[in-house]
Amino acid sequence: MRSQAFCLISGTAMKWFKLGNAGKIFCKIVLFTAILTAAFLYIQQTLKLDMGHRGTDNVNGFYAEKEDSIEVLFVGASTMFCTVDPLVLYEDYGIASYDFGSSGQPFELSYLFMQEAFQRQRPKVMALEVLSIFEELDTSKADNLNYGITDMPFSGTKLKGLSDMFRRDRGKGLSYLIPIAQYKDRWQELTREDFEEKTVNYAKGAYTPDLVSDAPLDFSSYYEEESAVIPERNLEIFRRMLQLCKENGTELLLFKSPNVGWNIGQTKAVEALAEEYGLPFIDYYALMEELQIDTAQDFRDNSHLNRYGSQKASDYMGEYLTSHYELTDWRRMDADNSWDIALREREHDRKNEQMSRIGGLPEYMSRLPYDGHTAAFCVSGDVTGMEDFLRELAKAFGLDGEKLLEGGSFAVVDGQCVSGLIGPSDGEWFWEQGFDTLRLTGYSISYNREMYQLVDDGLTIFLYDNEWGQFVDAVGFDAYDPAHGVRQAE
Amino acid sequence: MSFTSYQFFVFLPVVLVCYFLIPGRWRRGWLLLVSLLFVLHFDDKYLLILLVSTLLSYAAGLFLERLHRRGAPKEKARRIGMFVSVLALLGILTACKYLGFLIENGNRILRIFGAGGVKAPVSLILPIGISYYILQMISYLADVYRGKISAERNLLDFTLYTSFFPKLMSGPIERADAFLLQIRACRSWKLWNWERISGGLTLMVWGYFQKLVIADRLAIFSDEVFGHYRQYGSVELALGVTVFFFQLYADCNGYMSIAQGAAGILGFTLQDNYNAPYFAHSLREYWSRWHVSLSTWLRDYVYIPLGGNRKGELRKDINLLLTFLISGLWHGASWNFVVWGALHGLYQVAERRLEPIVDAVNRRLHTRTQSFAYRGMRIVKTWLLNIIAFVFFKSATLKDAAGYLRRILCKWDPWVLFDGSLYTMGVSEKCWKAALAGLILFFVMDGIKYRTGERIDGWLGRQCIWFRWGFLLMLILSCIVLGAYGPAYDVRNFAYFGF
Repeated sequence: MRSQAFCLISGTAMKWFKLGNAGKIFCKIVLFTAILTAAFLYIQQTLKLDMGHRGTDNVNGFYAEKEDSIEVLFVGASTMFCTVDPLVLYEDYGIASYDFGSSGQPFELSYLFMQEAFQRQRPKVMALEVLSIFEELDTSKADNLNYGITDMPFSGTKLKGLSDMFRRDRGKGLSYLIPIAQYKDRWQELTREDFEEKTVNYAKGAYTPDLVSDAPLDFSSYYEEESAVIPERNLEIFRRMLQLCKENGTELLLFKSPNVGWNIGQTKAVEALAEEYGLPFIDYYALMEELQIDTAQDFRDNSHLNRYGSQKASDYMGEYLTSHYELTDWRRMDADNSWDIALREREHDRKNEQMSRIGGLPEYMSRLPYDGHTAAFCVSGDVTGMEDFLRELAKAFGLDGEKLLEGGSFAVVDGQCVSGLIGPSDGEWFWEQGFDTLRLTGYSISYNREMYQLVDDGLTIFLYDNEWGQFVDAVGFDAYDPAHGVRQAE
Repeated sequence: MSFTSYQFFVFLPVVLVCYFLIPGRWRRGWLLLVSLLFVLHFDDKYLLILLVSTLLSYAAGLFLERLHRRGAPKEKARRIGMFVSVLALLGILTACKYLGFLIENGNRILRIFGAGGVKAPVSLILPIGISYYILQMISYLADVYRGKISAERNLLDFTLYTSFFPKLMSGPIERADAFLLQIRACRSWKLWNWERISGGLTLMVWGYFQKLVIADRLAIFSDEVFGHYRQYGSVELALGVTVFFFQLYADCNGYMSIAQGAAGILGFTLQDNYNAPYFAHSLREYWSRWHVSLSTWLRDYVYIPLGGNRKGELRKDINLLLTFLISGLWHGASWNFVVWGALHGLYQVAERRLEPIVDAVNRRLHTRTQSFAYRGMRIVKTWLLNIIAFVFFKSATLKDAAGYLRRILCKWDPWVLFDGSLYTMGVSEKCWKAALAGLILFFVMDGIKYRTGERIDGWLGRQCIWFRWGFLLMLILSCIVLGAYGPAYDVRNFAYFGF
């Protein structure tokens, strides 16, 4: 093997020396250009702004999906990905779907998303959320374009799409094609996250946090406008969408999520359009009563459903899709697919999320997940009233309870105490995973140079997810009031 | 089409590819065509003025030569011909560049006498590069008049001499004898010379680095300070003009490197306009290193014809003052440029007159004049005098310049160095650091040039391939990431573009 490699290298070297001067120069130019291009692409990738659920996660996640694996694809703005949750569709109906959208997505960009989607997927149903059909493309709204375009890989389709969108100012379109022109100044604000590559989107494009809007939504303006006109350019785009779906043997489905600002005139116009082209149209506004969507509990703001509202809307969508289209129930397949993995990840995530919301010490301890986690405990100050609990805690991990009462810390990895008790007079103890470092002393817990000493008198608990390599929670319980945990933000 | 515009990045490769592929006999025609298109891209009026001036000086050159051949009887006619043709060229320059200034000042005088003002007869335009190509034409006519060169008979070659796009916008002011030789020879050049091409590309990259990473980044700060000087105290204002002092050099030298690089790839050599001027120990040395083509032009066509140093000490002082006043006026049609020029003239006179005294004092005190510290102090002295003069150069009006200097002396605010105020003036702390790092690199390269006379392309060409490639990659990527360009920045023209 070694001699083969030597022959290969020496053979290449011989050929190199036999090359004429022009050949060598050519090779040098090619090599230099290749290095420069690679460095440029890396820098561009690093400097790009991570738009999270607004764009980056959804777009990158779509390209990480296995080719020809999605049967129902949802396209549109945030109202789309806050309404339909593909994991609900999978868990309850076995539908393999994805929310391929971006915040504030203009209608013309939805068309580019469809074109891009068909390069990798052959969905049976393309579901389009029609919020933006009444708005003409405004290229001065850079954010709405960046959310969708920045992370879309370079391709002929993208080039053509941008050329069409920026037909009046092609120079401006260039900065969307080469994102570094817009994001180059981000070198000043780079953090560790910018160097971490995120591809898979375990939410399958959906964004359904369990936030609730401050006040019930007021839909009284819905009936104020009786008529609305779809701009001619958007009608043309719509016809192109239809043609594209037709060419790919995909059924187009229109739907509209409820949001304040939308009016009955717009609903009628979309209904008329759907009727004209023989397309189904799901109007969630009309279904709010039937689906028991509560204006006080099921929205996170004026435009977006929250986790609870999305669950109801997705259930309806699942039933509609299974009853109107011949879709495969992917849950019955033997092999794990990406939706199965995503469901497990979601379960994992929600458990972590719950931990960061628990207030009382007894409940916290009862739900503390030891498997796959690292928990660090730090006892400090006067712990009168907590003695019995701390003795029990020390006993559970084979430590000296009386010593712990005097103060100290210890770490538990996968249910096993790995540090022993670090007393106030002992030195430091370190635990590392990847770039994350946990440091314990007799009186404090530090994680990546940030110190967590949340209560002066009582117990501080730090929780880290080993599997995901991320911080989960840090909470302090005062010895005098262990029922109310104290967290850093508070 | 500025060198930093997107269009130029399309224009230049197209020009180069065709230039390298076409037969040698078409090269001059191709360069002329693209140079004229380059001007046309700005404005068709600019092209018209360039062509009219070119035709005028071309015809005048032939006329002067014809009279020269006829000898002494036609000497008076030749003098008149020379005078009229230079006057016509200066008339074009005045009409485009100084008419507004003349009318404004004329109106002031008229108002003193109670008379009404006069309006400009046409809307005034300042064609790109007019200050440069008019000087080139004048020097060409003077050289023909003196019999130093023969008049150019080929109109196309002569037009290429006046309009060659790399040097059109901001010089250098090339002399006709050397440049026309290059034009005539270019048809037979062997273009595929990798050393020359890579040297040209290196120079261009280095030029963009100076412009985008240093000059345009620093310009944000100096523009802010000069634009709102009434809001700032001594430290910010002193820093503002010091930053401008470095910015201007990075800007000018950046342009020159790009121009030399582009011309170099085409096979042409442009003279070095900036020869490490900030290492000069005296203002006299500074002016022999700063904007060399203008300085030598002024020396040959203004200072020497005025009598130079041949007519006594007093006349020499007066000639120096006059030359620098003209230099100031050339830089811009405004009284602050005149004052800036006058200050430099006075500096020159004072430096010359004080030199024996300083020497005597040094001898008496046994000062080690070759020591690093003494030489360093002389460099700093040159900087300081220059910086004071630059207040007039950068300020919008004389009144602003006076206000600026007054505030530097009266509004002492040292705390801004420590309380973070400096980072709230358009340039963040990290950007400062980036610009400073760029500036240090810039001065290291200039130091090499000062000591060895070698430009960056020559110096880098002698290094090993790993260093060379690493250095070039660093420059290119720095331009891309740290450069002040893109949607968040105004496109800034090169500083000497407007002169």
